[in-house]
Amino acid sequence: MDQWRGGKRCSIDNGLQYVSIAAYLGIDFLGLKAKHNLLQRIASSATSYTIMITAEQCIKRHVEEGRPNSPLAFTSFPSGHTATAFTGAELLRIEYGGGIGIAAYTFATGVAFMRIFNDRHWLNDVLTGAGIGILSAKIGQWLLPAETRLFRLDKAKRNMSVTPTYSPADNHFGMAMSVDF
Amino acid sequence: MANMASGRGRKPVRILRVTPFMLTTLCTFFLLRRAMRVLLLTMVLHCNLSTMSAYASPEDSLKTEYYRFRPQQLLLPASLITIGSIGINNKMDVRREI
Repeated sequence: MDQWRGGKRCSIDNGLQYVSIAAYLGIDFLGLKAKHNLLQRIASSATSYTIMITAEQCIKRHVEEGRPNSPLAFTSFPSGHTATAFTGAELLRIEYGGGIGIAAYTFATGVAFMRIFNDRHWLNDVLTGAGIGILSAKIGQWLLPAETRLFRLDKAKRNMSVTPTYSPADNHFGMAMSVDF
Repeated sequence: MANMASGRGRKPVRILRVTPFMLTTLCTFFLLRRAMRVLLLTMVLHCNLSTMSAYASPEDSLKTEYYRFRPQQLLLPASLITIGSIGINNKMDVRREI
């Protein structure tokens, strides 16, 4: 791998890990039909990521495995980047179905590959990271009905009106908004 | 008086002659009107029935599908975590394999 890489490193995986969760929250604005509304998606993603980060940090501190590129940094196991990418990929698969899911999983696998390519993680780190990510996303989705009942996330569309105002006498602009809740 | 008695002072009355062309046109017009009425009535009935069917089962059309727990959903993540955990003591270094 070192010879193949030729001493180069690519840090694009730092940003790519968040693409799937951004797609999960916003891809329905492009016309795709989502199963849940935006509030439910925010709630399920927040739950999933909270579980994932908690589990990942606890295991990192407990296991203390050295990284391949710097053995004195004992935060190798499991891979947080991979867990983040796979959480988003699994949420996307559950929300939008198989086609988007395959694309998201391909993307997440690419992030996992980049972690090994950049010599940041061992293979078992990214495997466990993927497992933790997928499991966290599933737990987030399993808890969604309870969250929906608790916070009334499936409430019908609220009526909202926004009226811009302009007063020519004193040249003032303003805005009035009314929301039914 | 004699003219009035003989009817010469009256305006001539035109008798509407029903030609086959006129008869066909009238029949077509009335038939089209009937057809349009039937079409309109069908459309209205269809809309009403659609609305009624939509109101008849509001739960079916508005119910959100949730992701339910099934034990087999645990297979993939559990396998990945197990395989990864085995590798802690026996490091799976992909660089050596390649």
